[in-house]
Amino acid sequence: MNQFLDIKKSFEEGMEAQKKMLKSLETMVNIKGDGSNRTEREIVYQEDKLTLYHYTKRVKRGANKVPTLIVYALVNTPAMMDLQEDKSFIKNLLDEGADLYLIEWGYPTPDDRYLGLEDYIQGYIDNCVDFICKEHKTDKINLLGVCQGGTFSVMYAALNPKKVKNLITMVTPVDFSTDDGLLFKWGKYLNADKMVEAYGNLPGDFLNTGFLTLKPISLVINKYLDLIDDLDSESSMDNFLTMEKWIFDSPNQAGRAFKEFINGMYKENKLIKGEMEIGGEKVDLKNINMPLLNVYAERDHQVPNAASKPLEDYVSSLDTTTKCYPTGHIGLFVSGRSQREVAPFIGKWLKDHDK
Amino acid sequence: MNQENIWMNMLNAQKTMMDSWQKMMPSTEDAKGSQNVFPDMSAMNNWMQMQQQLMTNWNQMMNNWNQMMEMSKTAMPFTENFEPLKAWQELTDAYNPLEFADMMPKQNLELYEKMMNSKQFYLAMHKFWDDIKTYYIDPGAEQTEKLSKELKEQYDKILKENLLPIMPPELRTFVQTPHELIQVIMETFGRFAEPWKNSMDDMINALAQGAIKDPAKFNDFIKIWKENYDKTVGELIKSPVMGSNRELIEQQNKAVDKMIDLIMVFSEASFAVTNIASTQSDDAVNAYIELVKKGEQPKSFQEFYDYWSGQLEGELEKYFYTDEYAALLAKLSDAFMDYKIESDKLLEKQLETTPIVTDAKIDSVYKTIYLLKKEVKTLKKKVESLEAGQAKPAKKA
Repeated sequence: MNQFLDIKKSFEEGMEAQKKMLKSLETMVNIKGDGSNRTEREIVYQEDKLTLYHYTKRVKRGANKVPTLIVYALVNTPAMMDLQEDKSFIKNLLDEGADLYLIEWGYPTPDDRYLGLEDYIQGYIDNCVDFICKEHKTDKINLLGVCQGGTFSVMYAALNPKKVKNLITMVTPVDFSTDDGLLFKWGKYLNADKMVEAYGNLPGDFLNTGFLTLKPISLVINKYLDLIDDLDSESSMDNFLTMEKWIFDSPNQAGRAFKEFINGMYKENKLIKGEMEIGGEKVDLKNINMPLLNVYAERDHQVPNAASKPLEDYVSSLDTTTKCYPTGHIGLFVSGRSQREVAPFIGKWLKDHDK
Repeated sequence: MNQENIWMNMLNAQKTMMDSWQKMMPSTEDAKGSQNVFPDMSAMNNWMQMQQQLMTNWNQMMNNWNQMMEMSKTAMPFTENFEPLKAWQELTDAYNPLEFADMMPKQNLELYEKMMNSKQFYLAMHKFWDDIKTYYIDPGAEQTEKLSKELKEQYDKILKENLLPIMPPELRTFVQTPHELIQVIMETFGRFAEPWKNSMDDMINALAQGAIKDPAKFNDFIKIWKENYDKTVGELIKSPVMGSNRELIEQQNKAVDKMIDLIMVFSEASFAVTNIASTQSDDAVNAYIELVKKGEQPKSFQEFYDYWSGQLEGELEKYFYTDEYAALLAKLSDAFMDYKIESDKLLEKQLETTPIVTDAKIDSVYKTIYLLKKEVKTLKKKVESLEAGQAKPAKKA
């Protein structure tokens, strides 16, 4: 007779889970779950809701001469890049000698609903670049764009090639014709105009619900069931809650910019076709002639490889490097591999291109 | 009565019950003697004995309550040597739901299967009444309608030719006009209800099939219901309204209409997803039975849950990647946005006379602020550029 279930094992697992759940009462009162943004930095520029941070250099000798501006996506916050002391992509880059600036877009309110892509790219990013150039008495800086911020950086570099010395894109979608990822599949069908008409600015919670729908059982149920194993560990719970806080810390999306991005990219794939216009000016990817480093993650479910990999085929840069890591969209920044390999590789690339 | 006595009484009662139940079951020997009327009952008897053993162990545990309490101070009760746990474990190992059917007498199994399939009875009843309608009522329906029409025409003729002429002229209007009104009412409501009347059979069929046999049929019911709604109540709700509250009532009707749309699309999407989940669960159970036969099944409940949820999510993901789902999701999103737009307008309408500033009122201010800020930034850049230009010659001088 085959055993249907090992009842003793199930019983023991059930008891262990209950023990851990009771233990969590003690664990939860002792943790803060907010270890992000601990790397030393100062506010150097502010405009509307945007804040530009400059990180304190962490090497005494051999720091890069060319400053690097990190442009993050409008979705979520860049806290993920400096999540915890031992999981900080930014800290690791600083250790490699990088001179880093970071844009935090802030949290759009109803009066920001008319902000368009032109305001973000040729307005805010350009103003930050000008500010940094002035501070460093230089006429060009490095741009490091992440996810949607990478797409913005690509467009900025194409429109202002004289201001960009080196371009780094990380998990950056440029070719939206693929159906590999669910966001790319659904994005082609969704009516962004109607969403903006209904909400003005797209609420962050609405986007969160969309992201949870991608893997409803894993992200809504199993993630928390699996957590039972760690309920009695303060450090594990602290890590989990720090990440959880980041995941649901979702700023609203300025209505017009959201509409322009969904329609122009997901629906019409205008960037690759050379049809994208920012402030009446055509975005020609062939204008990107500076050295390019394109980094993507093999198991990226948000931005499929087919969307980020082809960038080098559309630019005119003679010095291009494409690098893929066997990790996920977020793992590229917070995983052990990221700390050991990704940040050091980018740091070295920046150093090699610092002349 | 102290706590120990309560436990003892409960266990003794359960033991008596198990004994009685076991006596009721025919033994293997009985089965042999009666020309194999019942199959081998040894597995069932073993199981019963195990339950009995469990009860005996619980009983002993209760008899030695004080000793057990002493023991628990030094050792965990749930160990390999803890007799009740051992007995319970043997019992649950033996109680394999997948093999339980093999232990049951054939007649009992058939009865059990009939019980499980009893819901088909309702479907059969539905078919029975549907057949009566199809074969006995429908063929005569045309004739009945014809007769009813003729009866009405005859009545009109008698009224006009025989009754009205002999009535005093001043009374005729009190008979004639109500008669005309009734005719208008019958015709109007007849036309209004016609879509519902014509599709009633299809709706009932889809509902019965959906409730008992195939949940996907609910979608057919929803589609027919919505088509009928659009042709009848939906038209009324969208028609113009009069009076001083006209705008408010019209807006209210629009919000209700969009809410109906949303409920319909939400139901469609829910049925689509639950249908996937239900089909997948059946498949997963069948696959699981095969794994059990090979002895490769998950060994604990957690492993089983991981196996099942992994399979389910895989199936859902496959469906999420289809054009059908992407279109359905977009439809659901549009329906929700349409409802939100109209219900927000209604809310703003209701707040119109209050001092609360609404989104529609302040939207133009947002736009003006945005344009002004943009202009100021452009001018600031120009001024800075001019200042930089002026500064250079001054240095040269």
